[in-house]
Amino acid sequence: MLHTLGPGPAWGRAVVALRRALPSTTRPVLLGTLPRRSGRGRRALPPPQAPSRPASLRGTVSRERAFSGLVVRATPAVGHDDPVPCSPSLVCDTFFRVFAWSPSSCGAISFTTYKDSLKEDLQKADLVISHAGAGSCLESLEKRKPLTVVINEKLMNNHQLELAKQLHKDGHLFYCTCGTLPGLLQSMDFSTLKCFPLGQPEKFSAFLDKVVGLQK
Amino acid sequence: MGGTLILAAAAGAVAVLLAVRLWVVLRPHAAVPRRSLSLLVVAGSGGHTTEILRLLENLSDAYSPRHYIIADTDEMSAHKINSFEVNRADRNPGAMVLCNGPGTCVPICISALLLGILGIKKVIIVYVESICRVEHLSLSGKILFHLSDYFIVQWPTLKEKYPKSVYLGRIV
Repeated sequence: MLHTLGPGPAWGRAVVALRRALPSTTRPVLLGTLPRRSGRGRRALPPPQAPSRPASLRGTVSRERAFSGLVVRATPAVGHDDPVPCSPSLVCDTFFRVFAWSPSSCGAISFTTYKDSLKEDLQKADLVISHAGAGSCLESLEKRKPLTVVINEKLMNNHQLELAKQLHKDGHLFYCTCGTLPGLLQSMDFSTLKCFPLGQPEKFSAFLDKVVGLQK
Repeated sequence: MGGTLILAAAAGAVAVLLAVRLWVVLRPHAAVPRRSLSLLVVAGSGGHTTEILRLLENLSDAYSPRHYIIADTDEMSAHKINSFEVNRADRNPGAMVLCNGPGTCVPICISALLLGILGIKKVIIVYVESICRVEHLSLSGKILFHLSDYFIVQWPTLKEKYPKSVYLGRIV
């Protein structure tokens, strides 16, 4: 459930947009692969529509506070058209370059490859930007965090779009592609998001116990 | 000439026998009372493993021993499964395959089906379509919809399209 993040033109735009959209203290956790920009075969996404009912999501991002930290997971981007060997120091350099930040001005930025758990990082986050994998979505939404997902259109017939669209329709997150992320970050309003109800795995175990004849 | 005819007849008879066995294995069976059931879990990469471990979290210890199949390059899944299993203990037999969509599960399920067709062992095949499949089944799902004993979906849109599937709400 931990993901890759790589540098490149799309990553730079997204990071710069993030800075402009969130001038105050927020501590986003950035997860997910942002694929290389490709001019070929890109489908325009329908613009995300704000849900009609008002919000009930707790812990919404406050735009008055300053950006204080960023957690980035960086590993080699696997499975894309032109994978980029991506060491943490390379991502760090790119990040500072496009942001024009120095470590002292931007607060704590930490980079990680695989971690056993992102629980703690998610706990502290005010905003999560992730790829639209089911595990990432579920984990962030269960922590009641404002979530924006970036769809990996190149993965398996763009199947991430289905879940992202449904969860957006239900009012739980915003979604975009790498190209539309900057625009979304500037326009999104997290106060419109709704809390995500927890899944019920006990229904699965009860069903299975019954059909296989397990005696109590 | 006579030999060819005999061979053709024998091949035809075998095909009919296999088709009959397939029908016997696929039709619904009454639950056999038991105290435990061994489990074979097919873990695909990343998200599939995460989802299937969530399904397993709620299963009682009667589902053991638990065997996992992962791709040999999938160290992350191996690590997650080891962490998951570290506090659990093993026990006794039965047979079920549990999977949730990676392509690797199709040959596993077909092998399980074959055990039943050959009369060696009836293996229960439980397929839970990933939560990321909202309106369309995955390719594995489309194949195993017809071959699994229990086919579980997690969105009402899929239940409408596949009325024979089982819908329990979101279970991860």
